[in-house]
Amino acid sequence: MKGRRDFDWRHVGVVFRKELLDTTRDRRTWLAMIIMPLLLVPLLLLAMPTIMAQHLERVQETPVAVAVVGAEHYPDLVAFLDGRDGVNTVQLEDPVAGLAERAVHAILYLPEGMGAAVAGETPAQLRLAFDASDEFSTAARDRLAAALGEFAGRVVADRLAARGLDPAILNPFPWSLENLAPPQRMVGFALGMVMPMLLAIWASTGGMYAAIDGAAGEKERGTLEPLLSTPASRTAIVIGKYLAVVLTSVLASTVSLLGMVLTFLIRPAALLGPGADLQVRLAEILPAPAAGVILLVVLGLAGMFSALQLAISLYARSFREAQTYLSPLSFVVIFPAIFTQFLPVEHVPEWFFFVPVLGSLAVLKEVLVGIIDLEHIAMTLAVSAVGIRFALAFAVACFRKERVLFRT
Amino acid sequence: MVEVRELSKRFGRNGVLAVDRASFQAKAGEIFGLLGENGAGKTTTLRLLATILDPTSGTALINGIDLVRDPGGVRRLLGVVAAEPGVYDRLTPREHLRYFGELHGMPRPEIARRSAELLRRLDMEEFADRRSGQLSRGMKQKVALARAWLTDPPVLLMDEPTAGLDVLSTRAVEEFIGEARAAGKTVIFSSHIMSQIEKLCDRVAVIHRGRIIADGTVGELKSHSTRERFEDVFARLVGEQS
Repeated sequence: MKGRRDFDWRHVGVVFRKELLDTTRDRRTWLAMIIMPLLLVPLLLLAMPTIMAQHLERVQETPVAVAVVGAEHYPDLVAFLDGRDGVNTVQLEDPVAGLAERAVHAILYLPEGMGAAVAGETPAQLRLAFDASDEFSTAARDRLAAALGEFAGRVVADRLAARGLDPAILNPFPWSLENLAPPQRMVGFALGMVMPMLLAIWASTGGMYAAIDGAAGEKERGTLEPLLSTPASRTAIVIGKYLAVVLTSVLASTVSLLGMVLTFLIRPAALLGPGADLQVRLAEILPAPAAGVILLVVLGLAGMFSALQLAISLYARSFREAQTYLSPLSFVVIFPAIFTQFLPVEHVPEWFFFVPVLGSLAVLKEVLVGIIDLEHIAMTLAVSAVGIRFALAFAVACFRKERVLFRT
Repeated sequence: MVEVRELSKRFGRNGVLAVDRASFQAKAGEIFGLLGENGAGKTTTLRLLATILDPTSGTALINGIDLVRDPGGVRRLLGVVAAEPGVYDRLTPREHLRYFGELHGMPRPEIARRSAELLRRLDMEEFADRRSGQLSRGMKQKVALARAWLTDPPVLLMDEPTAGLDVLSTRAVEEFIGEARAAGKTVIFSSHIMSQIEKLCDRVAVIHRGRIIADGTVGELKSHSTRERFEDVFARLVGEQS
């Protein structure tokens, strides 16, 4: 076979160093490899909840306007509602149009003879209309439901008192809530939702620009021919490039993990949840063995995707074409990631660990929740190793194929 | 010395025969021209000699080494310059030389010494440490020349090396080719510019539709004809085949 006989590890080293130098000078790689992964986790965990909390606060602080139809049927209730903070009742001629125009946030319909029904202790059917597509209307619904419940409680209490009964008989066992999950598990749960996806995405896309540049880029710039006419064998060239892409991808993942750690150091409550014990140390959230397993799994993912990216972008005629071909590849990670995001660790089926990507996502999830299952880890790494073997062989084959190299 | 023997290249199983049983010899200290129109098979022939493409049949010996049997050994003897300068935008000319020197297994101090010498000789010192993306086409082609010359290879393959260059850069390339001959190298040089071939080459092969239709010195090719201008000779040769 052409090339194999001339294989020399020194050539691999030379190509690897050059690709790294080239990559570190590319602004796009910096953006994709360092800046985005580093900032995304803090953004997701620090900025987003803050923005959402602020928004929620705004919704809660805004008084809602309720159009009451048939207010005259039971003025006591209307007076009760008006007396509450954050609720204003209004009378409108066309309340439905008012709701559509968002002039009011909800419509409350009181039936005829409601006062008599309440007095006579027969049920009176009320109707509450709202607009589920409007946050303020949803808030109005919740506020009204609570108010109606409270008012009904008062009516019941009056009826019980009239019969000489204590309202406490309606609540035979008051109860309270207590969360016993240790902070580490809480963190793991939160991280288990987000981090596997992010780690896997960076592992599979962090080196994309390096791969495109190293294959389609060489073609587009006309550098491939001089490179192929050096004594370096094609296998050595591919492996040198491949290692550089893998390193870039692993770096992107590591940086996103660093972003997580950074978030924890800046504001532990962002990971632990408000009111949690803030004395938790970093080592409890990310112990060394867990970090080691994460690195290995990420390496497996990066190993498979880097080879595929190189092969595919070598097939492309230009940088732009390679980008078009490679974008769908990230869905191979994103879909399973979304699919497994809400899957509790205990319910991950055994066959997941035999499937590339799925197994990696599942192990990342386990590790972040604090579970180290050696069997699962070994299986996933073995599957990744086989994946790498085939993907790399494919990339080498592409670099040997004239039809791929000189596709015009 | 380059000895091409019945070299053929077909793209795809039933595709075009881009090079059809080409045979010629280029000796050391000689500039051998490959003259042909665009698409005649010049680039494919040079890519076969550079072992970038595998021949469908036939072979060539580069300084006695068979390119089918030992492509890696052949690549050690070659310097290649193509029409596209082929430089990395984010690497400086000096870094290009280091990269290609290392791929050829040259020791670092040797690379540094040779680079300094070539950068001076090709008048590149001023931009030697500037990123290549900022360089003009002529400057980039100088990087390609220096890269090909770096290892002091006995054989230089040049595929339309002056395409798209201005007058001064073209002259620099032509001077470079002249120096290579003086240094006793075998230079195979392709072009579709008749005057350039006539000016530079010791011997010429005319290639048309993948086949060598004539081979000899410019004088010999002219003597077959009553016409004075080399352009006319070429037109007649190609016309006879069509």
